[in-house]
Amino acid sequence: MTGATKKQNERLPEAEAIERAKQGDAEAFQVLYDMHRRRVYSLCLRMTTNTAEAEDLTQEAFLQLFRKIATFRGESAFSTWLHRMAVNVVLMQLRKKGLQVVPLDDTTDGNEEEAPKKDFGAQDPALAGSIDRIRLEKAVESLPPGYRTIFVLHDVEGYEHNEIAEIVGCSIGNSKSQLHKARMKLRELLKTSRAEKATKP
Amino acid sequence: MKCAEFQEILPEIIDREAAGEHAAHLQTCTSCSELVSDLKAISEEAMRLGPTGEPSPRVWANIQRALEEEGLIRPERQPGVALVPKPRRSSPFRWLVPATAALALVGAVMVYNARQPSKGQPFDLAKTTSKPPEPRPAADIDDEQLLAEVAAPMRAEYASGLKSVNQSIRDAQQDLDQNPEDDDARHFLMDAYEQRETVYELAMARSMP
Amino acid sequence: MGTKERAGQVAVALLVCLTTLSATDTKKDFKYAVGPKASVSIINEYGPVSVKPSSGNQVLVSATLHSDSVEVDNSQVGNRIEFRTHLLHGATPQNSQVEYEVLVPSDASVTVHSTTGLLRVEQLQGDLTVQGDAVQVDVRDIKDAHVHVKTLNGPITLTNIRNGHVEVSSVGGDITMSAVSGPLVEVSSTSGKIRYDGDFGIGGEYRMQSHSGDVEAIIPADASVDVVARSVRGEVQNDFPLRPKVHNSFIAVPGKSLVGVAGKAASSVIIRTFSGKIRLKKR
Repeated sequence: MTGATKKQNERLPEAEAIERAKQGDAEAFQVLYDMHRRRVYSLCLRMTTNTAEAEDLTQEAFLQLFRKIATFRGESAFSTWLHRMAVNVVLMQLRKKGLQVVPLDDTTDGNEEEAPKKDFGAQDPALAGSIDRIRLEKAVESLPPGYRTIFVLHDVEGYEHNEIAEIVGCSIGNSKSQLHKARMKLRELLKTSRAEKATKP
Repeated sequence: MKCAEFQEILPEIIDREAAGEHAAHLQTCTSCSELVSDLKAISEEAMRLGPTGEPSPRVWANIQRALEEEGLIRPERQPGVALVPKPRRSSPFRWLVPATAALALVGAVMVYNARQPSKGQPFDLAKTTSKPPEPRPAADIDDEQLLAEVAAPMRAEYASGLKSVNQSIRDAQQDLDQNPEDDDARHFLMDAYEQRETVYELAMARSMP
Repeated sequence: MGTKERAGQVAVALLVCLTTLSATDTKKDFKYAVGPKASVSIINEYGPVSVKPSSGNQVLVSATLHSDSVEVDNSQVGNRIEFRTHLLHGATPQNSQVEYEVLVPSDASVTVHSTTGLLRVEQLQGDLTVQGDAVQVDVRDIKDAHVHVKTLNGPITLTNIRNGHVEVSSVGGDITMSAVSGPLVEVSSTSGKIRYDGDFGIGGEYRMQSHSGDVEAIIPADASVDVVARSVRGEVQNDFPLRPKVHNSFIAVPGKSLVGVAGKAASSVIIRTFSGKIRLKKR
């Protein structure tokens, strides 16, 4: 057997792959999948924290994209289009499961979201410069779902508040306040885990 | 301005440069200015978070199958006349190419198959040749878990299949260890891994709704 | 290995017997009108599927359910038809058998999945995908189309398949090919035996590989082939007349590998095993 190395040197540029995919070229679909699968999967994984679900959502996002590819006219970047689709697929899934995508109320009134404690002058040192990626990923994973959604969309994926408001269906003010709470919660989690690490022998 | 007041308004202003009384408060208040600096650090580090991993090969297999079933893929047809024999180029199993490419990151075959990294992600060859593979999602469910997922009546068949492919992987690995320069030995190892992926793919196809 | 194979076959045979004895059969018949190049999927749980050509542009499906622990969902979206078996509470492999008899236009592309049972497809010209766990696969008289078969175990027989891509993978099943030729034929197994009886067409690429199963190729004297065969630990035996190859960088080791050509060397044949025997014979 040739052992199946992908045709490295013949990889299609994205624009051409898109055109060919519109014509039903199998390899073009695969090229587009290979180009974007990690990012789409990561988005799904961070928002659901479940690998099996993230895979199913990745699959669904690409399928929806490929079904609609004939309508892509190059007005925005292909990756933007794809990611929007992935975000929508994930949010739809979260909604279907009855999870509140974003708590509607700004104030914490006994819903599942745990309000981060207000800070009036803690003595421990600043976080800047001591955040490592793994601890941050873990902390993000343990955020309550509503905080996590907004945080991933804004700080990780780079969506603006007005975009988030549109995608998620909340107000811009809500998006900002949920983001703030998410970051506050992360700060707490990171400080706690740093303190724990320091006390280990 | 008091801390409580400042922190109340913070969500609105944190994404801009502080001005007026907010700036004044930050200059005089260490705890609030540390808070702001912490939150910005978190946000900046988050921006640098890259992709967290790879979906397993079954995702592409399922996508491809759906595309074929829905008639979105038009497979190329060869004309029915004599063809000049082509040099070896195409992958044995289209539907397993991502599997093989992903598998190529594992163990001995990495040196052979320097796979192109996805955008923005440097491919550290040195790192991958010395470490065991990073844990991946469903593809790394160990065999026990796979057997647990498979319907009970089929468990014996799958156990037998896994035993068979695992042995073939060991054989091929041993051969490659003894003959590291042998291209064929690498092919055998990769093919053995492909067969293992086939087992997983068949099992997953059953367990998915 | 041999025992395991036999056991698998016995299991399949047993299930077939049980279904014919069952007295609680319900038969459901479906008819669909479709356009050219329709796509038909039969996703079964346990039980055989047979697909043959229909006359005219229709898809006819007859599903025989052997108990009420199983149900059949069917849908049509445009030119795409799907049947899916659902196991209900209390289903076992014996009582949840569904037997599908399907007629499709010959240009339809067909997908068949089942866990156990005989999967039989014949006389079609659309792409075919067959997938199964412990199934017996029999595909014959397919032309100008791709044939993909993937199974865990159970014998696979391909007969008179021409002019398409053929990709077959079975972890443990034996694969038998008779009059199979096309631009690309790739067959792979871990422990199954592979047997090819045919002339390798004109100008195709043929790859046959098994880790521990034996591979046998029975070739007519007038075949036009460029053969490379190699076994790491098994034996390579050649009873077919081959000429040495000009411009050859492959060093043959007698008994372990061989390379040679016949006729105009139009088709490329590569046979590899790790520990299985390789045997070339003249028909």
